[in-house]
Amino acid sequence: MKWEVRAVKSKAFYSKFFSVPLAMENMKRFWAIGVVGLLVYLLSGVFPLILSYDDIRPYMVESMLNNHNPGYMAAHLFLAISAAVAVFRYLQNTGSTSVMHAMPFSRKGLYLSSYWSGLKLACLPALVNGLILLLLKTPVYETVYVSNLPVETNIYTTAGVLAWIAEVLVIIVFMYSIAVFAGMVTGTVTLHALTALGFNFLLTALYLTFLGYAEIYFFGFDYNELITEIALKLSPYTNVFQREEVMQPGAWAVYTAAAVLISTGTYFLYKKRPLEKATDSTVFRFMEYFISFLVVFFGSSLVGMIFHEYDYGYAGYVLGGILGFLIGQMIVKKTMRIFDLENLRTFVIFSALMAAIIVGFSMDALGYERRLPEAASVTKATISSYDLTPGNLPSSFAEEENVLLLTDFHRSVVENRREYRTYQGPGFNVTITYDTASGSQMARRYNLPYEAVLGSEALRTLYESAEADQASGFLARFHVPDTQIVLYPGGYYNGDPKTMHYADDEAANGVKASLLDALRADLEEMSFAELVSGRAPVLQMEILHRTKSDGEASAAPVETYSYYPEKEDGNYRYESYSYGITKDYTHTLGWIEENGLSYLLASADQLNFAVISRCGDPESEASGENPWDYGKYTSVDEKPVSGPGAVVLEDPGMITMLIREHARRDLRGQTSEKDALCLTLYRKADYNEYTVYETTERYYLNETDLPEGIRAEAVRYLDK
Amino acid sequence: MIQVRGLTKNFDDFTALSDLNVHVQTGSIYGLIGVNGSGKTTLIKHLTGVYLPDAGQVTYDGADICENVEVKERLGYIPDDLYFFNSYNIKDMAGFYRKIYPRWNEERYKAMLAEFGLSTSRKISKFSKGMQKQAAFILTMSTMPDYLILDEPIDGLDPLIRKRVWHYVVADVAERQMTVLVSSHNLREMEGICDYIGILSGGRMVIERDLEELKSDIHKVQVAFRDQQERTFSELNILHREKRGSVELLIVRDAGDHVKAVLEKEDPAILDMLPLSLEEIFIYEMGGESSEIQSILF
Repeated sequence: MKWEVRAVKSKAFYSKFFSVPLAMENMKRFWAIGVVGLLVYLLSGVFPLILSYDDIRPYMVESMLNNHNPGYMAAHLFLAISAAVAVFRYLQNTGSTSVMHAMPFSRKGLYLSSYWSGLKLACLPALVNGLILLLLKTPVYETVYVSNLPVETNIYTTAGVLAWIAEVLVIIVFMYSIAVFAGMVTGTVTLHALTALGFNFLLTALYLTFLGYAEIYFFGFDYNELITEIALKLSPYTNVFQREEVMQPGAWAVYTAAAVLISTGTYFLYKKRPLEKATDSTVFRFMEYFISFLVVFFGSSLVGMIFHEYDYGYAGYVLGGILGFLIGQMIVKKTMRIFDLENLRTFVIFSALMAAIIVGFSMDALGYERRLPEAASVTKATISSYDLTPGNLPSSFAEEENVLLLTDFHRSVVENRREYRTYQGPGFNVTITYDTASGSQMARRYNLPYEAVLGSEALRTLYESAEADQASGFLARFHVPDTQIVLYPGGYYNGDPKTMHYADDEAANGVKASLLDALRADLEEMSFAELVSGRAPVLQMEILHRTKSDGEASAAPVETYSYYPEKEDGNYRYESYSYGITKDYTHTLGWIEENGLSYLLASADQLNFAVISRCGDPESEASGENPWDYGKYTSVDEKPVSGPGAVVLEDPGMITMLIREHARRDLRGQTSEKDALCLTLYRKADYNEYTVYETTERYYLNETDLPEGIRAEAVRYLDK
Repeated sequence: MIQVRGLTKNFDDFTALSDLNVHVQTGSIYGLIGVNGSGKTTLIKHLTGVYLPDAGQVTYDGADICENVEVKERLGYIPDDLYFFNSYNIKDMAGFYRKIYPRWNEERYKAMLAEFGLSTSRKISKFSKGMQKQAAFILTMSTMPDYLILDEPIDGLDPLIRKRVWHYVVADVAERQMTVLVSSHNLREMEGICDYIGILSGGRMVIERDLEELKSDIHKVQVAFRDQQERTFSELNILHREKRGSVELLIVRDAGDHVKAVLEKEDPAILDMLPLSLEEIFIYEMGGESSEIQSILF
């Protein structure tokens, strides 16, 4: 029989750039991946939602739409990686790669068709799930508390679901692109899957490892929120862990652009891919070294950091490096026979690189520790520490002479870094941040002994400058109807809290304004010595202030505001400030007295007795003979009497006076914890028929600062 | 016409093909033979546009194969290492081929399917190796290729199926001027089907000739003389010489008439000129009965 050739219209044009049949065939072959992904989405989100449709708990919706649902996160990861591995699997086998490339496709056509079909496979389940979430939409209100104030908002909205879909697509596209890249540089399915997973978290892992080195070796390294945020932002997948809401469109654009760049680079790699390398671990020589070095780097760093924790010096880096090298070489060479001259050469090069990294960090080769900014280039210098920042606000300075004062203080810390580097005792945790005109930021964090701060002339001048006094001026700009104030005692000693809440009562506006004025006057007049006195607060003041996101305050009742500025029923920003009012806040305390609120001040009304003792060693309960040593008793069965080791006070007036006038929060001004005096407060507690006296609070006392009578008792009973 | 010019391919430090030239005439069957590791499969993967050459070019009627979809639409390739989509049966695979090969011939597909008697519902992965080869052959031949590249095509096939396969190939060559390059270790089968032979060794082409010409140039001669005198036959190009009692066995590369004339001058008692098989030609051309050469024979 003679067979005719009846060519239909050439499909070459389509196959050069994109092959619809191949893309469709991929969908037909790998549909199960999409179905599994969809099932995971449904089982983790939609099904529980339907089952509790009459009473949907806000956390269910919140965890879904904010991508904090573990099932969702697992599905994103599974879909992105398994789709990439499945559609590009033909590259990892000699037979399949030969047959596919001998078919009427160009590499471009194969890449684009496979890429597109894999992407569809990975994204469709999320889209379907998003549509179902839209169909199920019903109002779900969430109550959040901002400084004890309830704020309600509907969190299950169309905008929320659409934002979720967009975010998930960005996550999947980004991760899928990296997974495809991994396939292009590896030659086996197993290594493709492993590197697809690894490369997706590579930048974050590298960044965190370098941060780990910085934390170990850099004095002053600030592992602050910004740094953590950067680490998580390196991938959209980890980005979801650093925030409460969906990503912003700007972040979507950046991740999508990165995915496009990666995919374009991968396409050029495909054009150059040596197909004869299928079944090898890696297909490009540079990847062999890259993967191998990564294993060495992470192995050495991990083991090294663990050993460092146990004071084994650099031994861990060496051990981890050798193990990493052996494992890395076995992986990339796919053999146990790795002991040859070439590998020895590679090992020497890798060792030199690792040594350069570790020595570079430990010797501070880049001058991180010594770096101080030029005062002229600083637009804002901020110092943040509990005592130095009343109201929990960091203190910021913009005037050049003040920036210079702060850098002087900073310089003194840097110059004494040998002494401070290993300091572990009580002191000030100080963070210094400089914002420069170029938009960059430099931040350092130190744990300093008390005297480093208390004795700093530069800090004293800085905090008594006009700019420091003006810092509290923001209180004067508060729109009083949008401000709530809560007052309660500085120490919480009993089960019956006394509070005063000034909320949206029109009549309270005048009262609130005068209280804010009194507070502002105190802050302006406060000396550096008073600021860092470490006195225990007698009153706690919480201020909650709201503004529209454009800066304009609103007159609407507080309770109807949304906590979320972007959500549909509110557009407000909330700020809260907390002040520990000590005896040095004379204006505020005067205001309290004038307004008949003295009952809110810390007092011994509800206490039964107090004990003054040597604090002892906090590290060991059994360190001393003294039964009143630190932490020894959290409760006693019977009221004790004064005797060796303890001065017992029962007069509420005396105890109140000690709390208000002499109690301190920490050890500043004292030589050691062991020898310091502690004031422990006890309250009677009834448990059915059983009565005990429980510790409710513990303060430090400065021996030189005590009233004469009590000092005499202390000398009598608490002789060192 | 398939042409390979100056093809060179290195795998890391190893040179698999070196400045290789191949010419396959349109409408002919070209047999590619060589010992294991001589570069046959590497050459085939360049011929099918799978590998990228380090140097040189592969053209089909003047068009480069690299990234050339138009040429690949007319190219059929059956590798030694077969590949079908997982869990597909031959019907599913045909559905895919139908969509990507514009010259797909449904009638031929159905006829071949009936003739070879393969199940259309059974997964190809469940087929035996020989049945998988048949499936690949049916699919490839149904694309009506102008160029057919076969790597060990009859390996695993029974004699009856082999005959059927060759029948289709020869018919297409005769009727449609299909150009075929076939690589095989089965030299007896190649001898009966090929028009041209190319012998690869160490990544280089040792011989590339018309098979008939090659065979007419090499002769196996059994000759015996009445005396015991040693003769050198310096006028003949002797590839191999062996004495078995009084009879001498000579493998000579020269024209038959010339060989006969030179030997008859010595008045031999016995003179027999026997045809040489491809297998024998291969052995003697490649330098005798070295173990390397023997290894390609069975």
